[in-house]
Amino acid sequence: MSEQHEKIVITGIGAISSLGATARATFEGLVAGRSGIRDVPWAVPEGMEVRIGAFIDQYERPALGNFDYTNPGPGRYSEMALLATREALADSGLASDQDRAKAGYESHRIATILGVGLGNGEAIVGASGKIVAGRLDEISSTWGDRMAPHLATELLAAEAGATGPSCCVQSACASAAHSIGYGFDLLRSGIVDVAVVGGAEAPIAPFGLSLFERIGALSKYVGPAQRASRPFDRERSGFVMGEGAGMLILETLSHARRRGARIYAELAGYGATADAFHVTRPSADGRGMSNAIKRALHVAGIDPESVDYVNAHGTGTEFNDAAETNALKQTFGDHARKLWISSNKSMFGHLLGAAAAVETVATVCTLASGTVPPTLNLDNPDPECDLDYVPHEARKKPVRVAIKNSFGFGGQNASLVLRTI
Amino acid sequence: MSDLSTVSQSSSMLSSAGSEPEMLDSDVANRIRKIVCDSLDVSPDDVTSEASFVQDLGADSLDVVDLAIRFENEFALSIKDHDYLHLTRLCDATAYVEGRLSGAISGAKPAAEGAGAAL
Amino acid sequence: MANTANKSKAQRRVVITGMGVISPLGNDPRQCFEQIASGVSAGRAYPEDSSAVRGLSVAAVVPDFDGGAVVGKKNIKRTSRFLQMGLATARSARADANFAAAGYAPDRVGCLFGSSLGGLEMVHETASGLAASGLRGVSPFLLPGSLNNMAAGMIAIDAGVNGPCYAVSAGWASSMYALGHAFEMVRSGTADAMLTGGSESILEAPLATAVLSRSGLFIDALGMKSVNMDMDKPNEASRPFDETRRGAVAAEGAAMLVLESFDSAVARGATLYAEVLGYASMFAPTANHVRGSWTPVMVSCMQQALRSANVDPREVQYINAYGSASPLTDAMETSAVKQVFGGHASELWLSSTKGSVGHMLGASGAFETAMTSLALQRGLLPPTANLKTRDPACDLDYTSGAARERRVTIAMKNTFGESGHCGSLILRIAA
Repeated sequence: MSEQHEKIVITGIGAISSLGATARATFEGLVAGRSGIRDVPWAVPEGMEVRIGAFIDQYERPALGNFDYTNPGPGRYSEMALLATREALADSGLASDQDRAKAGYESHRIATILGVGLGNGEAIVGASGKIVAGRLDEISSTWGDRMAPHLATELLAAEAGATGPSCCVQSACASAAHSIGYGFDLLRSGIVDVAVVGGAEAPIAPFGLSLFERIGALSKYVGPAQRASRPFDRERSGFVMGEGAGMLILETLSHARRRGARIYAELAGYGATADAFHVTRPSADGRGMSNAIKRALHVAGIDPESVDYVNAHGTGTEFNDAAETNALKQTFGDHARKLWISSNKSMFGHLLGAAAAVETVATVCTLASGTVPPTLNLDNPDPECDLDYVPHEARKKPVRVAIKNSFGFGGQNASLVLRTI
Repeated sequence: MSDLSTVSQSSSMLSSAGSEPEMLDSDVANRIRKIVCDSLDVSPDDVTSEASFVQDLGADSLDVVDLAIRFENEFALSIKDHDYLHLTRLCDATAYVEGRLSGAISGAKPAAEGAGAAL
Repeated sequence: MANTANKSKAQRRVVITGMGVISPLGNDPRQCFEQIASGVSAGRAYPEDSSAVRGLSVAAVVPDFDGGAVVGKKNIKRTSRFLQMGLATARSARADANFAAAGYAPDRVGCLFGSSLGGLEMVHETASGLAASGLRGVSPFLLPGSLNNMAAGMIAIDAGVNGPCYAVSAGWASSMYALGHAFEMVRSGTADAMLTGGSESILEAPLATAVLSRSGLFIDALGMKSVNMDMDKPNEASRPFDETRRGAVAAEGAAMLVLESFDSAVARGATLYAEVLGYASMFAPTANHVRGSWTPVMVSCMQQALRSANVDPREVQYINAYGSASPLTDAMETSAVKQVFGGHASELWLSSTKGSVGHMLGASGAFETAMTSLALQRGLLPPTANLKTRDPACDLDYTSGAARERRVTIAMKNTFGESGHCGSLILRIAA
């Protein structure tokens, strides 16, 4: 099947997280084993326990060009998405109309797809507050647009000079993976020539935190904030929320070569499955997850034994980490024990709709540098998580094939295969 | 979220000593029973003293949280999650609420909770 | 053009084999279509003094939908209405297609779902609850009950399907985007069948209706009075392409379709509603809320769709228009159609079902695709309700008055959401 299709490659990356304002800074933080998780400075409402997160103190707010997004603003998630997009476009040499024209890319052949969880939480909560307070007159004509999850895509499309397919994809924690996969499909079908894909999330506190605290998904760790995200560890008790954005530029190999683009890696395969099991818990046997990985490998035409590294979903919840371990064993058999696997969430938290994007960016950096970031806080691995999760320290080896896994609430799974080229 | 099958076993520590009637009939018990019936769409006869909300009445982990919120609102209490995960049978919930209302149970979070305890 | 070679390889034909709808004119696709064809239109008014909370003065509501019957009484509190409707229509679409008997391997069937705002009423409750009473005011059901992707997830659980599954949000084109993407998945062989469509139900959410009412797209009492609309006939407020149109009428509803590959549908003896020949989607980003003319993007979208379908513009006979009854968009759409079809535009038959059922927001694309398929199947073109005097800027044959018996082979369905999201689908009558 794969021989009939053009190879799809990654030519630009951009990211912003609590570890740094660029893809490189974020990756350097991961490799150094730094944590972006800290105590939050906000007043937390009565009854809420969670007081930590991987939030970004300050970032350089991007100019919005012709967009007059005030009252309400575009929300942090949009600004972060825009920053990451600008970085990725510049990285790929497609930042301006002239660049894109020179590269031979027409605007209707450029797609902009963004993975999003909630979106512009500021506008939604802000509007809600005004209504409850009876201040409806303060809600102007622009509030409706600002509340829509796809809001950020408008900024991205304008930035990329794109009029091709544009939307936001929502699958909870797997949103960005499905977004990247959507771009992959569009390119392979010949519908577009460039896909600007990724995800962005800035769950505002306390609202965003409360949603996940309420379903018991957040880490209950008592101790230093940096130790609270503990994927695969015996003491894990949930994830730590973070914010950030990651974007990637996808093109076909032939066109990227023709225009002399720098090629990071091939996006060789993509597989998406549904557990069809429960609305918040994954199926413990990891079958749906395993099938997503197998599909992605099948599309890539790659044997499981060729995989060197897995960038895990690794949220640090009791259910995910055990199920994910099962899934890896099912997929890889004996080879599972030879894999190096790590969870970036141990350091920059769970970025929800942006998670897969920033983690795919990190995986691209791993392929490019031969450096595998560690899983932090893995002091006592859960006996059920008995694979090599690269505890504490980064390691070096040539990584030729890597997998990025994402398993969203509602059992929505997506797996990406990346390969050096 | 914890594995509730182990929680309901350990929650027996909250039930009162001695034998108890199959159908509890105190005011608190009746109010709790009504909440459980409304929330889980079960009949009052099903909500026996020892029927497990999860195993017997079809509650999932989200329902357990929702029940605790309803108990909080009904009895004007604040129930922390280290407590409400144990309130999975009528007898346990009744004993807990009556204990809180009388002041016998504090409801405060235990100090230096060990990691992984019942969660 | 790069990559076109790939398109012709291993592309399968795709057909619609089942549909389920929930609408202001009924919850059976055929009955709903008959109502529309008979010129019935839905719409109710909200008293002006309640508009302070509700925000919209007129809307088209679903009169008969029992969410509890769909999800079970216990689950009403943990699912928002759009989700209940999505689940209900997915079930009826599968039943309509006799899908259980089809025997597809579960991992070859997926679910793509579109909604623009999801369960906003639950979000509002939670935001208010958090502000009022801290964590105690936050329900654990908000996330699973209100997120768009939960609809996709619940449908997958209900149907036992294990293929690709997620939600898409693209303003008023949400379900169209989901549908188009699902079509591409079956066409390319990623899936053998897809459950797809969308739903939108936010009329009970003060948060949604308040902001919608201020968007300038939806008709309000002032607008109605300015053209002497009969305030006692709110069902006549939605007037696509009419010179007295003053905005869309917000509606709620859902539509889910079953898409399958042509070969396997025929092999199992499925009823074929229509064949999907091609699809294209585009986006018109623009500065500020008030869009300038994005006609060129509408034009390009229709042209891409025709190319995708390998159909010449002159082969198209009927267009189910976007026709929201927005003063601006209706005129732009007309201009765009003329640019695409040239002289042939004056020979086209077009209509907008939004005159009959209002604007279902994110669900409109899927619902109107269902109605277009029935139009093809029945050989009956629905009218544009409430179109009495055409705006001179909308001078195409928008089928005012009665439905028309016409055997149409190729139809186009357009969605030009005022958020700038465009989707065009090309349909052919099933052989």
